[in-house]
Amino acid sequence: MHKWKIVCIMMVMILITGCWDKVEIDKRAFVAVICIDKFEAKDGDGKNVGETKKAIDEERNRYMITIAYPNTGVIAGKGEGEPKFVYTSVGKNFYDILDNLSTRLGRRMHFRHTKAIVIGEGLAEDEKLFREVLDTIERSPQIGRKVNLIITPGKAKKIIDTNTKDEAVLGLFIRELVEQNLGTARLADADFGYILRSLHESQTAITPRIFSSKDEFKIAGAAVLKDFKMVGYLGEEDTRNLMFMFDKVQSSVIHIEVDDLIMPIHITDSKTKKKVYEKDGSIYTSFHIKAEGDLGQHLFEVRDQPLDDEYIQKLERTASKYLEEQIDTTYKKIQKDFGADLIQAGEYLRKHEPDLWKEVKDDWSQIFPKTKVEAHVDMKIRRIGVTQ
Amino acid sequence: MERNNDKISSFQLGLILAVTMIGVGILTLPRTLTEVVGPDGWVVLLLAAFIALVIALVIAVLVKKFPQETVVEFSSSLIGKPLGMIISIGFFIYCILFSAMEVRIFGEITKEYLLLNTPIEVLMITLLLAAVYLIRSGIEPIARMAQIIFPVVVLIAVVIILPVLPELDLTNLLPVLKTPITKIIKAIPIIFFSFVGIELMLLFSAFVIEPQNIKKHVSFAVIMVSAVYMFILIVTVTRFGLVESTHIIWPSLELFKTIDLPGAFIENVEAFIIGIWILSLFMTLVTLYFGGSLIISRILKSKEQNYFVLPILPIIYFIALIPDNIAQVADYMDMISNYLSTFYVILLPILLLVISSFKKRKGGKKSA
Repeated sequence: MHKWKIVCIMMVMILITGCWDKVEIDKRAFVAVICIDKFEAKDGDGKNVGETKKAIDEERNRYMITIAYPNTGVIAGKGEGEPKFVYTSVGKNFYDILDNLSTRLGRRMHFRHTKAIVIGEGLAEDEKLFREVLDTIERSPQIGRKVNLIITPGKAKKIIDTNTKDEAVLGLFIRELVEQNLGTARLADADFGYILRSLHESQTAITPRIFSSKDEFKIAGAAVLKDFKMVGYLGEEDTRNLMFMFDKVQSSVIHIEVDDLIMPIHITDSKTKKKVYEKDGSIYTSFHIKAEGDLGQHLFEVRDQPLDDEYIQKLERTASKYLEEQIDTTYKKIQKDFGADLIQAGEYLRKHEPDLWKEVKDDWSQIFPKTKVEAHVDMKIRRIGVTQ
Repeated sequence: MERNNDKISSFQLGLILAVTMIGVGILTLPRTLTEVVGPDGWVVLLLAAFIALVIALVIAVLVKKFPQETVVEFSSSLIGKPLGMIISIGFFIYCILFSAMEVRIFGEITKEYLLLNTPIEVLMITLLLAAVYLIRSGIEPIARMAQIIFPVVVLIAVVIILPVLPELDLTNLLPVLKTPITKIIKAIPIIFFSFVGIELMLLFSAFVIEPQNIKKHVSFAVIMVSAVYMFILIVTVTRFGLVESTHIIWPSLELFKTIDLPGAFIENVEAFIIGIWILSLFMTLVTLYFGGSLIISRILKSKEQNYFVLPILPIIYFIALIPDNIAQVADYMDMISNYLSTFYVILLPILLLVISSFKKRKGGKKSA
């Protein structure tokens, strides 16, 4: 009896203790940024793909993925060496490439802390590949929905080659850049969760775009996704106007011209009410925007003007009119250039006017470019700074 | 052998039932509801909760008539021994099948989200062994465990959801009540089975000291569980929108991937959530498994149930391994809940209640 007990205890100790999934933290590669590109033959520069194998491999190479992970030792202030490690590989799909990479990595890749996924323009324009990539990311239990999915003109791999000065961890830097920039409303406020939601809902979405030079990034504007591929870009101003329509503006600056004087107005608060309705047989989208702002600059030694209520009201009227025109232009541009319901007017109809939506939903993609836009901006200038 | 720990209060019974109900259902609830009725899920949930409350009260009235008896005994005395036996054995099979599916889903989710390299068999065996340890100790420790786990589950789930709140878009619940009424009625059975677990009252009421309070505490349990479901449903649908909610297999878990706590490396809260969910799933397993072993011991007229616990383990384990993939698990779950649950949760209690009131009237006449 006693013997059996001991045998049992030993079995328990051997069989059901320990951990299959144990990975020491210094053996993990916390991948901070993933860059995904469409493979093009000239990318095989002989370093990553053997020159001789190139011809054979061309069939199966569809993607080129570059990952970067920080050298945790250096970031903690101990140890030396490069602040980040970069690996590139090519292959059939995401997991093929990961397998490929892990044959070269001494650590296990870990995607729970991935901050940014950068997609090259070539890939984003290819519907099939782009859908594959979107699905891979969405299906993965590891990658969160807060990841920033960013599209770059040109090759995504270039982003990683950029040596930034003030932040070693590239993914974190991109995240911080995005968050900082949201205050200017010059880039699309769109994380991966939003993109998925919007694509599922209306097959369209916007996503920020990133530019890079040798040692700098710029995240600004938006890439427009329609029917699961990229169809074009929106500039910074259009993106800002779109953010106004989305009620996602935290703060921004608009420049208005009154009496030959260009004045910046800092928008400190903005609230947008969107409405879609039918009138006289055509569908209108209306935006009622209530915004508050400060006057940032006037002209030196011009007294009495900024502190004059009438003058301020004049500024307010001009600013309102300016924004109304801006929104009108952007709306029409979206209709003309993309024909994509980026404004999510269809979703609004489905929610608020289900009867109308039933009628139009089947050919919404044809109806949307014909919808009309109305913008009403109520701009208030609250403060004028410390001089009069 | 008389043991003095085989008694629980009716409040503890309520908690046991509550933790039993919150199990696998909570993960899929937003998806299944949204798939069928779109934005009107909360209406259906409200109706289902009401029906669950009624059923709970029916069972409570029924069990009050037979203090210290489980369904095994009183079904025999009501509808005759052979039929009673068939019902009891069926109930046993039902408990075992359900436990097996719970174990399997536990394995699948843990492997998917947390322990990628651990074999699913090992995950399942460890959970089962832990459950056996608790079950062998009897009903009272289970009740105490429920008392500890229920508040923890509810509180932590609510606290962790707080960071999501600013991103909710309540317009996702629009349009209200545009679903055809027939669709809503058809959806009720689907969701009703998130309340499976109340039928265990038929077994556990035998241990309650003050049966007169069962009604109160059981309705409290049903209301609490409905509130938790409602909270999860509304948060999930308003966060993801309709299309996305139906797209994700386990939307309630995926919700936590949208949380980005300030500070770079504190995210991945889904690991904590799965931890908490495992606690509540563990309790579901424990009560169902305990129910199974209890029925067997009552059928065989044994005083103790704990001899039967270990022999049942391999049965549960092998049943849990039967489905090939996650889609089949869902199919089996549907099958079990469509046929067995309908019978044991709805039909059996009502049937027994009718018969018992009939018999009593007859008995009353006799004595008069």
